[in-house]
Amino acid sequence: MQLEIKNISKTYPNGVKALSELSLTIQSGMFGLLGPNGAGKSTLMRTLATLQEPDSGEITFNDTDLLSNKEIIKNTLGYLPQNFGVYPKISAYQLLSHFAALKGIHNKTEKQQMVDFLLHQVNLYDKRKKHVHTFSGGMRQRFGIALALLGDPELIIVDEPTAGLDPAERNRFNNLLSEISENKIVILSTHIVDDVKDLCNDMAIINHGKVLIGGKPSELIKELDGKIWEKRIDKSELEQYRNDYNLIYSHLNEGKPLIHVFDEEHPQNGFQAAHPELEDVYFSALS
Amino acid sequence: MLYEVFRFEIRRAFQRPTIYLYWLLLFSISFLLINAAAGAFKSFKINFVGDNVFINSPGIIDIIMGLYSYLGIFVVAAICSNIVFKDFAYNTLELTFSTPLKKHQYILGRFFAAFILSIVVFTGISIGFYAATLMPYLKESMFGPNEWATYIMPYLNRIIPNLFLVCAIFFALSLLLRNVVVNWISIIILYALYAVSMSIFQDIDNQTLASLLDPFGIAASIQVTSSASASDMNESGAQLVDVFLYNRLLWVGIGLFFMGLTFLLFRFNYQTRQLRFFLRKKQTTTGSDTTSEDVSPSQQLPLFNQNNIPWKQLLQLTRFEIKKLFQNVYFLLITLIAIIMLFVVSKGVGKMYDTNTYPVTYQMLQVLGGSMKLLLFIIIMIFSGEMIWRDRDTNSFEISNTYPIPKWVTLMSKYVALTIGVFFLFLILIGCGVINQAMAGYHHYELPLYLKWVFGVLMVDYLLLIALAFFIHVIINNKYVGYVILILYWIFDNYLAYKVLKHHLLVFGGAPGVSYSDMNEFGFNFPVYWIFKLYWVVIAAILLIATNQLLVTQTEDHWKIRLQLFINRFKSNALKPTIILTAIALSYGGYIFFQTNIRNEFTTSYQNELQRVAYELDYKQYENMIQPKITDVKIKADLYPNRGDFIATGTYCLQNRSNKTIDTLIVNSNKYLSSVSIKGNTKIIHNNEDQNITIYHLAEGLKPGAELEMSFTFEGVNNGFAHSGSKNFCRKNGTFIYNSYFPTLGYSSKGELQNKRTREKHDLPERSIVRSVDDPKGLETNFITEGADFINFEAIVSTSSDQTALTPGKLINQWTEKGRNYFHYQSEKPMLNYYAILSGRYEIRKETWTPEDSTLQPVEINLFYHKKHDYNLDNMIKGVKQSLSTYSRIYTPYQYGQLNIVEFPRYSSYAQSFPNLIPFSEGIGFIADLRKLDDESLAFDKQPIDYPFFVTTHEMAHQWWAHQVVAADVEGAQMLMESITQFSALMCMKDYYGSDKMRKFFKNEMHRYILSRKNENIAERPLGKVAHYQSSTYYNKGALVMHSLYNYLGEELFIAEIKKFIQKYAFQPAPYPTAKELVDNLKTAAPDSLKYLVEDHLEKITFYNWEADSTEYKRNKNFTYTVNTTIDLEKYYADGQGKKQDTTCDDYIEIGAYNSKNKLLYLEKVKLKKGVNHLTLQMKRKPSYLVIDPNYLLMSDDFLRKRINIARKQQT
Repeated sequence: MQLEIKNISKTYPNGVKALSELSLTIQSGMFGLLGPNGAGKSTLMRTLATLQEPDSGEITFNDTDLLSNKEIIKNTLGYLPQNFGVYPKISAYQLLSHFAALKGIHNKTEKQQMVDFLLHQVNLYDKRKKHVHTFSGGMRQRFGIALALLGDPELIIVDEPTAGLDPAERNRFNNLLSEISENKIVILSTHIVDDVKDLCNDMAIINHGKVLIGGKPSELIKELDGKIWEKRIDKSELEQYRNDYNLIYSHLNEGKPLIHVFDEEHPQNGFQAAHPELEDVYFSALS
Repeated sequence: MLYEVFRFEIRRAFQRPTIYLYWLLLFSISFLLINAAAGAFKSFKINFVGDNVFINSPGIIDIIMGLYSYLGIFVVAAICSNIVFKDFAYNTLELTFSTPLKKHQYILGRFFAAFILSIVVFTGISIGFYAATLMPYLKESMFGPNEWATYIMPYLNRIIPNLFLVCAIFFALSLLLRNVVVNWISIIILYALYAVSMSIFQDIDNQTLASLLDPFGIAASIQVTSSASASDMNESGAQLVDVFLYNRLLWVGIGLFFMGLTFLLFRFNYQTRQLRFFLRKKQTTTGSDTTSEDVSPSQQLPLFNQNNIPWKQLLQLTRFEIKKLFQNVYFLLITLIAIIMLFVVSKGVGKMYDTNTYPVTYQMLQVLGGSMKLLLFIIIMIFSGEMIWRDRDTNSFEISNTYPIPKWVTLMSKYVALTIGVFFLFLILIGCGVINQAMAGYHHYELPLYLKWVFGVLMVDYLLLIALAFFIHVIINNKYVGYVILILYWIFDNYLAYKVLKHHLLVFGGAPGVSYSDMNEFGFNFPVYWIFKLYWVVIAAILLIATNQLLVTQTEDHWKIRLQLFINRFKSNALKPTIILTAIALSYGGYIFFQTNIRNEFTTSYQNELQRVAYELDYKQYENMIQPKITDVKIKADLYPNRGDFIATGTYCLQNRSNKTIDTLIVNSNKYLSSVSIKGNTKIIHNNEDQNITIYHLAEGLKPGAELEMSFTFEGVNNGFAHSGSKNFCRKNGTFIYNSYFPTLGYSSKGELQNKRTREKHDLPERSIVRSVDDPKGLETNFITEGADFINFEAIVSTSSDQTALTPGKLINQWTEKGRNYFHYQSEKPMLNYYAILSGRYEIRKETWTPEDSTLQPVEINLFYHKKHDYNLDNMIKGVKQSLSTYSRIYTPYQYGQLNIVEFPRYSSYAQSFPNLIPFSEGIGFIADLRKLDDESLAFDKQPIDYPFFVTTHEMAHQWWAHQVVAADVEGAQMLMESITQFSALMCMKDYYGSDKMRKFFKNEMHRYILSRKNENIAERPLGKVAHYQSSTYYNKGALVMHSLYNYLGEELFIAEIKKFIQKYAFQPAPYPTAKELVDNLKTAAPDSLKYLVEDHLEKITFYNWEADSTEYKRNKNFTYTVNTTIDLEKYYADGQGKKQDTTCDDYIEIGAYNSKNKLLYLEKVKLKKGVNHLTLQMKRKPSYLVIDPNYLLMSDDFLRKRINIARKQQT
């Protein structure tokens, strides 16, 4: 199973260049797409979900041209948008059945089994008679994944699914994602580095509509081994360090900035070798 | 703070384009309206009221502003919802609600912003109006002086109060219920209230109630201006007095009430209040999810088949859409309103003379096709938008659009669901129609007819409208703008489409009308209706394909991207069907065009005007050329009801009745007259095929007294169909053909354009609209028909074997030949050259009138009627008999031995009198509900009027006043022809029912006359010089005046004069008599004390105003009663424009006194002077109230004849 994205570009009518000659090859398993806000992630996701047309480039899924065979692709597509609403006054069970029928599952028993199964899988079976629009954020996201999973799709696209979830919900959701990713392509777009770290066997970092770096997370981390150094400094010193060193990122640790710098050699000056993390990969790619 | 909120809203509004757009919209509508009224567009003209009223007169501006303030409220709704829903729409609710803003600041600040913005937008109307009046290309003569007050007054008494009311309602409901649709619902309710009050307003006894009920004050303003004349309209609009004032106070009060309600109930909170009709347990699900995650059973994905069958998806989606529609409270609410409206509206359908008809099915169908149109439109408008926007509004479209559903399935499911919604509503309404019939005690239910009408005729319009609505919503891609465009479309479609586009092929959904008649059923027009509708179905299909390709299925909806996408999609799969359908539409439209414009004639009203201009310019020179008169007519006519053909041959005998030799014949024909030939040595010297005029030269000339034979063949063969519908001469059942198809002689000034402004437009000289009393040509010509005096008439008419054919004359022979029925008629006495041919499947009711006076002939009466219409046959027969005995007593004997009344389909609603033949429409009289006629417990206002009897006696009177004595075609002719006829009918009514029944009738006549005066186009003339355009003068006023003369002068004197007149002129050829002669006779005969009355009634336009004050009674020692009253009397004469001129008076005025049970106690004519009169009346019993002129003997604005209550005198 393979999704091949070749040189796709997209410029919005207001002049924003969202994708520029972007190419990616994605295999089965969970693929993480990392990037800051406005990097072009959602544009790419929507393009893959057949909701937008690129200006140029091509996308093939298992040798089928996705752009000209939208109706065929839609049969094997599951999409969970960044934020979505549902029709009011309809229960989870009814709504899922409705969409199951639209996915082409017409046999009553099969439909029921499918809906029951998915409700169990996303752990909403107890709530199946509740109206979906009264669900909390986490429940709604899980319901969304159930919608995306209807009809056992081969290509699943989830766009920033854990934004706004509390840690327990996020954990629950990620478990769900990892369960389903066998024998499928699951593309997870996010700006939360930990999600990718936890879930993905392959990833890419994009910004300004371009792929900055791609590969397996562990290999990408390995490449930075011995090149990341950290130091705890005063806030007032931050500007100076930014000028003097190849500073990747700083984050507050116990109220004081802890900076990570990239250097092939030990930069001395009180820096200590740091164990590289995916954050380092992410920020070094962006910087 | 309050000002801050206000200023913020105002500034925000002025920074956005919508306010300007609304302003521009109102500005341009009123600008164009005035341009159209002033004739700026050659082929498109509208009229407000009569031509004597300036377009910018206070009266007109007032009316138009009033209409605007009610038609324009959807703009107010848009402004209000924008301001109220901003917080809900942009999710700024929590931000706004968490500021320290006080409730009253929030509400009032925004309310005033919305209110002021609405007023600002509505200034567009008067500015547009004013700007239009300044346009140099418009005819100045149509405008009066422009005064500022004229433009400002309507704001004060109409627009601002109405805006306040609707703003308050919209504000309250949308703040409290937080749903946009409530605004639509409140608009419907306001409009429904308006419609209901307007329909109650028709009942002149309940006008005050109706005036109060109308939220926009339109009914009230009509009531306070009901007696305005053209000159009054030029002076001022509706004054804020009386019921108009109360109405304004009431509805502004209701506005305040809604504001109070808002204060009381509004809370700053996040939870929305929702309108719930069915109590349901509120569902709440808390955020914390307690079930632990490892509960999930490790199930395997079940096996399933995935198979995208479009029709199954269609089924699924349609079910879903239908469920959504039917669950929508607003859909149910509109359905409820429709049901209520149906019951209210169907009460008044077919009402005549305040008398109901039986609720026959076609009247229920009329309601379904008429009053329900707006509601169905609103349903389609709202829910097409909701359906197109639901996925995006709920933000679920990113999911649903990644599902493998073909676009057409999505669109089709919505289309089908909305169609089913309309279908459902119709079924409900049919049920209500049946219930309505049952409630009225009418038990002839025709369910198949209901279904045929709804699904065979009405439904297709909604199928087309739904397609258009989806198209508009999708192409506009903004929900609210889509709504506004749809509303504009609706207004255009209902009021302007045909004026602008003119042809069915251009007006969306256009087709010739089809109407149902019990007699003729759907008629020949039904298939033609469908020929046009199918053309539009094809167009709608193209629209749907385009809609489908334009459907937003993607996250981007910038128009450039949509256009690109549209082109791509269109190329890939829509091209072929679109080309095929377009080709079909073009060729099919071409076929229709060929039929309507090439095989048959299509003329716009403008072309028609041009044709008449050409006629006048080319042939006016022949107006006074003497022509021979028709003296004998022999017709052989064959009717083919099954295919609609009418073929006839005829022979005229022409005689030169002048004293000069005639050498030129001007013959008017038409394109169905396949041959016209004149015996003798003639030569065609001029032939105009456009005008169908041929001029012959008679070589030898026609000497005085000499005769000439002319014969012709008429071939009325079905020739496809025309723009107006099927081109058939016969109907399937109930044919009614005039002799106007047959050739006539000479120039007829009736073909000239009459309207003053239209003549100006075509640069024609001003034309006297009626011939003066001494016009020689007028005295030579009779009022009914030109070119003949009394003729001998003979006709053989054949029709199909199941029908009977009728025409004037006595039936002298009848036979069957080759499966057809033949009837031979011959007139026993000379008659006017005015006849019709009728044919149908009739039931016959035969009666004979045997006169008490043995010198008179008995009369055979035949009533030919439609099988189911047998309700009021007795009343009509009684009418005929009463007429025969009354008229032969007061006038002369009836001239024929038989009288036929024949029912014809309801396409026209009148009865008409031909010699011994009275065609009578099924729409009047036959189905009048007279079951309560003899119900003595009803007050006189509530009693039905036996109008089948009345109309019969009126038409019967024409057998004397038209067919015995016929007026010259000069001023005043209608007084002889119609006013006396109305009076005659009253005499029958009096003879048969007694005079009590007549007061209600008088009241109606007075009301109609008073009301008509402002619409006078030319100039009102006194009854004695009345002209053809003054129908309310010669019918309504005429009846009252004749009755008044009869009452004042006394039966003996008045009847004797009339009788002398008819005896002198019966069956006399030219010169014909004039009204002036009768007026002079009456003046001579009247006693000196009453000569003024004859003059006032017949030679002047006279009005009285009266007001009574301090009316008290006192019981005398001998148990009699003395009533004292003060009457303030005014009398004035009006000129043609309605300008008043006070005059002195010392006139007899009747005063009646009644007891509390409405029984007449006292009735005397007392002499009253101008100004204050103190009166003392003596009566034997205790009075309760006085009525001045209770029998409507004098013209007065007080058409209700208000009761003057009599108080008991306080002993001092």
